[in-house]
Amino acid sequence: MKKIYSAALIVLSFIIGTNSAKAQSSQTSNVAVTIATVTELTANNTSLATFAFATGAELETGITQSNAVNLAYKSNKLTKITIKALGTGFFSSTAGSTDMPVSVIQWKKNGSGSLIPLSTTAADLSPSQAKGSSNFGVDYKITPGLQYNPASDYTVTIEYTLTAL
Amino acid sequence: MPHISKQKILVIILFFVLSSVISFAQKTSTSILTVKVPEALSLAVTTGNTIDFDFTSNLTLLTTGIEKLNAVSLTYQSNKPWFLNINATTNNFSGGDGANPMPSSIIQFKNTDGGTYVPLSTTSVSLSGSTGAKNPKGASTVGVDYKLTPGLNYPPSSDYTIGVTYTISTM
Repeated sequence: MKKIYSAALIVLSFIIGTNSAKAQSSQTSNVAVTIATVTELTANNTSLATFAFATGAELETGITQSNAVNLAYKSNKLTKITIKALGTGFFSSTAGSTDMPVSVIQWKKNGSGSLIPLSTTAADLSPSQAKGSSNFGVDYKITPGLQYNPASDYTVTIEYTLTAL
Repeated sequence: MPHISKQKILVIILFFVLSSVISFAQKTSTSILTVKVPEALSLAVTTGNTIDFDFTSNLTLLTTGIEKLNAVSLTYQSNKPWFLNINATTNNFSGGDGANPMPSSIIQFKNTDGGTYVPLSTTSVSLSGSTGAKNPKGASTVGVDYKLTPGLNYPPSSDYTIGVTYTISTM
């Protein structure tokens, strides 16, 4: 009878020993993370204040609006912002046949550089911007001169493009 | 149903979260710029506000006349085609003998750029361009030549004066 108890204890001990081996286990898995290029650009002023000329002298010397538009950008890559006109000339339903070209508009990044005539070719407004978010203003100067017909509805659309470098 | 570990679920969740924030590497924004250009029309006498013709030093000049080239310079601005007229403000000079007034017609004028002398009157006539032949838009100056030939019909006086009006128009 003693021999039977001894055999049962040996079996239990073996089973317990097997369970003890499963009490610690490790597994691995790969965590794949994809971070897309994030770029955001917002013009705070989609309709700029009208450049309202009052005199011939103003038409010849021009009107300047500093910080006429503020561009807020955000990106996790180095970026640049370009500027261009969406059309070679202003639109007007009343000016008649004389087309005022967009080159009467000059622009520059507020606080830096010199004024540059606007065109339909994208030009660097801010050629290199560090990662992160920030904003800056754009200055405009318009000098129509005396060569274009009087009209109160000259309009042009300006496009700003932020590109990850 | 297959068993999915917690780690796998986390990876799947991260994949969808990151997929939802994917954006393009280029963004654009626009603004509309509006300009009002008024009709700009101005004219100013820049030199020759007062022109003095003094015949006392040479009396023969009363009959041959005194000519003053570019006696008046007019500065104009216009963003529409324009023309410029001239006229005397009164028929006669003030001063002298009121019973025998000196008429504006003793004054002759012409554009400095060319042409022939024309007697001045109160009727507005062309100095540069006309309604049917306007000058191009722009800003510049127009010079006026004057020649005065009083003759011997008017009494001596040192206070003959007359006004001359210059009018720019785009009509």
